[in-house]
Amino acid sequence: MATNGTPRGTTTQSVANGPIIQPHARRPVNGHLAQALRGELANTSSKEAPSTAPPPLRTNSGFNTPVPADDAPPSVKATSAARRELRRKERMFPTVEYWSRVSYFDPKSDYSNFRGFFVLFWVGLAIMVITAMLRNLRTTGNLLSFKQWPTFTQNIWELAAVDLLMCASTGIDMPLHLLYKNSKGWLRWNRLGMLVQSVVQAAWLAFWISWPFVRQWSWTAQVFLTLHTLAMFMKLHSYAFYNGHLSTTLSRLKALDMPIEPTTPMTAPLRYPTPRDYVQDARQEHEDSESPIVSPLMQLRDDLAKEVTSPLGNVTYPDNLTLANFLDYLLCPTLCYELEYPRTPERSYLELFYKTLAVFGCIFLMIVTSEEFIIPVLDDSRIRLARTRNWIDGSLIFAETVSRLLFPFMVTFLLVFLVIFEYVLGAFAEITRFADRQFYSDWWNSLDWLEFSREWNIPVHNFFRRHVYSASRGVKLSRPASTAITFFISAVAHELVMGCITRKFRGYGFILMMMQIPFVAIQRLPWVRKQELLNNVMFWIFMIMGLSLLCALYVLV
Amino acid sequence: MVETSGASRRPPLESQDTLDQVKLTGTLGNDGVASLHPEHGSNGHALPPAEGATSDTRDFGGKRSKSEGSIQIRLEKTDRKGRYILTADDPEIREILRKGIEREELEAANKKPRIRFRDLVFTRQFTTFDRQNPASSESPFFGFFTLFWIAMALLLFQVSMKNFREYGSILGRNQIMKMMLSHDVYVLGLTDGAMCVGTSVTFFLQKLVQWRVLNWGRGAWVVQNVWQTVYLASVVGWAYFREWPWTHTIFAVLHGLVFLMKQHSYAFYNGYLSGVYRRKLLLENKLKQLQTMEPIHSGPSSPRDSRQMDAFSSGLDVAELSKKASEAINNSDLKRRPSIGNRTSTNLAVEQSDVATIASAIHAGTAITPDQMSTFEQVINTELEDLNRELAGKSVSGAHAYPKNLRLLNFAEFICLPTLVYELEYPRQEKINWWYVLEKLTATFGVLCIMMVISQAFIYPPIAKTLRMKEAGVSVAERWQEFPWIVSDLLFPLLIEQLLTWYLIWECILNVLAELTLFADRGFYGDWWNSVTWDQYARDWNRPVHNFLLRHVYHSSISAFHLSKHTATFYTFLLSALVHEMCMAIMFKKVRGYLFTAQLLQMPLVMMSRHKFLRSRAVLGNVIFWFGLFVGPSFLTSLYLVI
Repeated sequence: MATNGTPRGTTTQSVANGPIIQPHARRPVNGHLAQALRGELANTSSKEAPSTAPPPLRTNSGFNTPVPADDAPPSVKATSAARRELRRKERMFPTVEYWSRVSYFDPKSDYSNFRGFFVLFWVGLAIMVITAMLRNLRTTGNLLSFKQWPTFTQNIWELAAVDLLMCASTGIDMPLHLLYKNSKGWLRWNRLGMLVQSVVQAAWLAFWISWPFVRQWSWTAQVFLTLHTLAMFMKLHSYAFYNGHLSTTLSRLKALDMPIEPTTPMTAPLRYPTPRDYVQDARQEHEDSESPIVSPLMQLRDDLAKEVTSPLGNVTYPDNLTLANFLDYLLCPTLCYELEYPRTPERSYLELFYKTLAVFGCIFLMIVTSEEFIIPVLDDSRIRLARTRNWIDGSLIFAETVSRLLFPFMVTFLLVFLVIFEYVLGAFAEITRFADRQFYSDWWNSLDWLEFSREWNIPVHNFFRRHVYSASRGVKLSRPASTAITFFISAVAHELVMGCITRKFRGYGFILMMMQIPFVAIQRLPWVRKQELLNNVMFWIFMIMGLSLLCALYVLV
Repeated sequence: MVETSGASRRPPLESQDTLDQVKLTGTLGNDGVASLHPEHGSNGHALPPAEGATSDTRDFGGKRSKSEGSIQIRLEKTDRKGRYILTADDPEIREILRKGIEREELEAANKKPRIRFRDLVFTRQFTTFDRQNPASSESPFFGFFTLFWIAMALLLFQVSMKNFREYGSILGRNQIMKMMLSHDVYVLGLTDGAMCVGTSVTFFLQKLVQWRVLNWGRGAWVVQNVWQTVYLASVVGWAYFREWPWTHTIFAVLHGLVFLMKQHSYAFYNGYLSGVYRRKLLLENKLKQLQTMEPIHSGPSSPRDSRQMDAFSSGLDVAELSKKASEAINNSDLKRRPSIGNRTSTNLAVEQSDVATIASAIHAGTAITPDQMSTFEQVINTELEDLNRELAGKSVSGAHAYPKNLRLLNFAEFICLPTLVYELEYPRQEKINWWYVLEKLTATFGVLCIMMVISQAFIYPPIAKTLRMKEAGVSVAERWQEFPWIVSDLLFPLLIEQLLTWYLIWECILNVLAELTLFADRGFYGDWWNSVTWDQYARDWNRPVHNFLLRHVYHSSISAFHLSKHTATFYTFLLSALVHEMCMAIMFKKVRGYLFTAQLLQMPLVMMSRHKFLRSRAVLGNVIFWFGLFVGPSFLTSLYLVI
C-alpha cells in the first residue's frame, strides 16, 4: 500500500493549516484516499457519531488502552509497553521521549565503578575551602572576605517580587489558548492564533528582559531574572504551540464526525519531520508490515485520535486544560510540554533535603572560588594593564591572566553544571515526582561541539529540537540551515546572558559560539572523526580555555 | 592478548580471596529439609528451580543420584542470596542427600590444613585504567580521566612559564633534580645489580634442600630467615654508609624489600614442597617394600577374620580402610577425599593416620592376606596421587612440578615477574605488544616529569622553609605554630603526588614489566577509590603485597602458630606498619612512630566502620576514607618535618 520511495512532504495540496506545519502524506496516494472516502461516505453517513473521542478502531493499537495494573503478568506489561512505544513513534508533533531513568551522578546509578573519584572531587573542594578560610583568618582575621555581598543583597526584595510577578504572568497562556480553541473564526490557532501568540510572547519577553536594565539592577539579580525569564519563555512557547497544534487536531477530528462534505479537510494528518530520519524509516517499515486492510478514513481518524492522547495513554487533549496541570507543568523540570510525564511512585523528602543542601553548598563553593581565585586575579591584571603602554606587555599580561584563570574556571564550570543539572533540576523533579532525570548525558566524553550541545543541557536541547529545529525544518529549510538557525538563537541567548553579567555587549561569546559550526565541520571530517581520544582532549582544552578566555575578554578588554 | 572481553573483567573480590572453596556445603534438618549454598552465590540464584534441582543433586549425591534418574525435589529460594531449601519427598533420596552432606561436612572439616599453598587464583585480567580494559575505556566517565591529564598538562605549562619568568629557565632552580643526581648514581645502579644477584643465595639454598644436604623443616628455614635479615640489614647499612640522598636510599630499600618478599615466597613455597617430595619418596619406598612382601594364602577370609587378625597385629581396621579407599577411588572426580594427615610429615612412627598405621604394619612385617595387601596398596596410591597433585601445584601439565622447577632460569624469571608470590606456573600471554610497552614507557616518563615538577614547585618551598627554621634554631613551640600552614600548603600537592606515584608504579611500571615478561594477570590493584573502610583500601591498592601478606604472613601465622583470625590480622598489620615506619625512619633519619601509630589506628577505625551505623552508609564511609587519604600524608610529613 505504501511505498518508501515517495519523497516526504511533497503533497500537492495547499498548505492551509499555517506556516509551521507541513503536510506530509502518511499514505502517499491521495486520490485513493479521496476515492475510498467517497465510498465510505455512503456507509457511515447514517451512523451515530460519538461526541468527544472516536471509538477505538482496531484492538491491537487502540489509543486508550488502560495502563496495566502493577500486578499484571509480565506479558501484559510488555505488550502494553510495546504498544506505547509504537504509539510514541507514530505521533505527528515531534515528541520528546520521557521515561523513568536516573542521572549519571545519582547514587542509584549503575555506573558506580569510579564513584570514589566523584567523592574525591567533593572532599577536595571541601578541603580547599577549609584551607582558604584558614589562610584568610591568618591574613585578615576573618574567616571569609565576602566582598561581593552587597551586590547579592542590593535588589533582593525587588527581585523576589518581580520574579513572582513574572511567573504569574505566564498564566496569560491559558486564557489565550482557550480563546484560540473556542474561537470559530479568525482567532483559531491555524489562522491568526499563532500570530497573536507570537506577538504576545515577544512582548512578554521584551518586557521582562528590559526590566532589570531599566531599573539598574546588580548583575547577580539581573542574571537570575534573565535566566528564569528565558526558561519560563521556553515553557510558555512550548505550552502554547503544542496545545495549539492539539486544538487544530481536535477540531479536525470532530469535523470527521459530521457528515463528510466536500469542504471537510480530507488531507492526510499533518506531520512534522522528525530530526532523525531513521525513526521515520523504521516507522514506515512498521506500517508496511501492519495489516493494510484499513479504510483510509478510519486510518485518518485513528491518527488524529492518537495525536490528542498522551503517549502514556492516560490523558486526552481538552482534559489537560486545567490550572493544576499548568502549575504542575511550570514546576516540572522540563521545557517541552507533554500531556503527561512519567512519575515516580512517591516523593522522597530526604532526597529533596539533600538536593537543596547541595544547591546551597555548591553556591557557597562557587562564591568562595570566585572570591579567592578569580576576582583577585582579575583585579591584579586590571591594575597592571592600566600601567602598561606597550601592546606586547599588555598581551603577555592578558595571556597570563587567562592561564591563571584556567583552574578556577574549570572548577566553576563543573560546579555550575552540577548545581543546575544535578541538584536544582533534581530537586524540582523530586517535588513534582518527575521520573525522567536525564537532564544531561555524558557530555564529558564529547567528540565534537554538536555532541556537547546535544548532551550537556538536555531540557534546552529538547526544546530547541522540537520547537526550533523541527519547526524550521517544517518550513522547508535544509538541515544545515536549520542547525545554523538553532545555533544562532542559542548564541543570541548566551550573548544576552553574558551582556547581563558584564554590561558589555561585545559579542565575543556570540562569535565563539558561532565558530563552533565551522569547527564541527572540521571535526566531522572522516580522518579527524576517527581520532576519538584526540577529539576528546581538544574538546576539553577548548572548553577550559574558552571559558577563561571569555572571562578575561569581557572583563579586561 | 585480549582473549574475550569477559575474561578481562576482574572476578569479584570474594571468589578471588576466599580459598579453595568446597563445591557445596549444606545442612540437613531432621525433617529432611536441606539448605545448601552453591560455590558462587551468583550462579545459583539465577537458575530456574527445576534446573537448579537436577544440577545440584548431581554434585551432591555423587554417583548414585545420577543412576536414580528423575526424583522429585523441590528447591525453594530463601531470602538469603544463593541459599536454597531443598525438600525431597522420597525417603531414599533423603538418605542419599544426608550421606552426601555428611561427607561434604567431613571434607569441609578436614579441609583446613590443605589450604596452605593453594590459596591464590591467578587469572588473565587487565588493570582498571588500562585502555585495553573495556570496563575502563568504555566507561561513561572516561572524559573525566582525560580532563585529569589535561589539567596536569596545563599545570605543567603554568609552572614552567612561571619558572621561565622568575628564573629564566623553565626548570626553575631545580634543587630536587640536582639533589637526586648529586652523587653515587652509578653506585646505586651497581648496588641494585648486586641486590639482584644476591637473591640467588635463596635459590642455592633450595638446591641444597633438594639435594638433601639440608632439611627444610629441621633447620633450613632458620638459615633462610637469617639470610633474609642479613640481606635487608646490608641494604640499609650500605645506604647509610654511602650517605646517600634520601631518594637513592628509599629506592634501594624499597627495591630490596621487593626482592626480600620474592625470596621469602620462593623459599617457603619450595621448602614446603621439598617436605612433600620427601614424603612422596618415603611412601614410594614403602610401596616397594609392600610389593616385595609375601602374602599368606589363607582360605577365603571373612571380614571378621581379617579384622581379628589386624587387631592382633597392628590395630588396623581393614574394612574401614578398604571402604575409604574405594570411596576415594569412586569419588576421584570430586578431587576431595578425607585428608590423610599432614603431607610434609616424614616420620610415620608418630603420625596418626591410616598411612602411618599401614606403614607400621609393613614395618612390623606381620603376615597379611592378599585382600589386605590390595587395600594397603590402594591407600598408599591414593596418598601418592594426592602428593603428586600437591607437587604439581598450578602447573597443570606437571612440566614444572616440584623438583623440575628448581632451575636457575625459573628463579630468574620469577625475580622479574611482577608478582611477589611464587607459583609453579602463572597464566601467560602469547606475545609482546611493543606499542603497548612504548605507550606505557612514555606514560612512565611523563608521570615522572609531572611528579618532579610538582615536587619542585609546590612541595620543595614549604619543606625548605621548615628546614631553614630548624637550622636557624627556632624553638619547637614556634615551629609548632607554623604547623597548620605547612599542612595546608602540602595538602593538594601531596595528594596529587600520592595519586601519581600509585599510578606510576601500579599502572605504568608493573604493566610494562608484565608485558615484557608475558605475565597475563594484571590484577595489580582493585577499585580502592571506592573503599568504604580502611581494610578494603589496604587490600585493594597494592594487590601484589596484599597477596604476599595474605599467604605468607596471615595464613602462615594461622597455620604455623595456630593464631586466631583476629590475632593474625593484627600481626599482619603490625608487620606492615613496622616496615612502613622503617621506610619513614630511613627517609627522615629519625624514628618518631607517627606513621606507625596512624597505621595501627586503622584497626579500631576498621572495627568502627563495621558498626551498623557506618555499614549502611557507604558514601559516608567513602568520604571518611578520602578525607583520611587527603589529610594523612601531609599531616604525617609535616609532623616528621616539624618535630
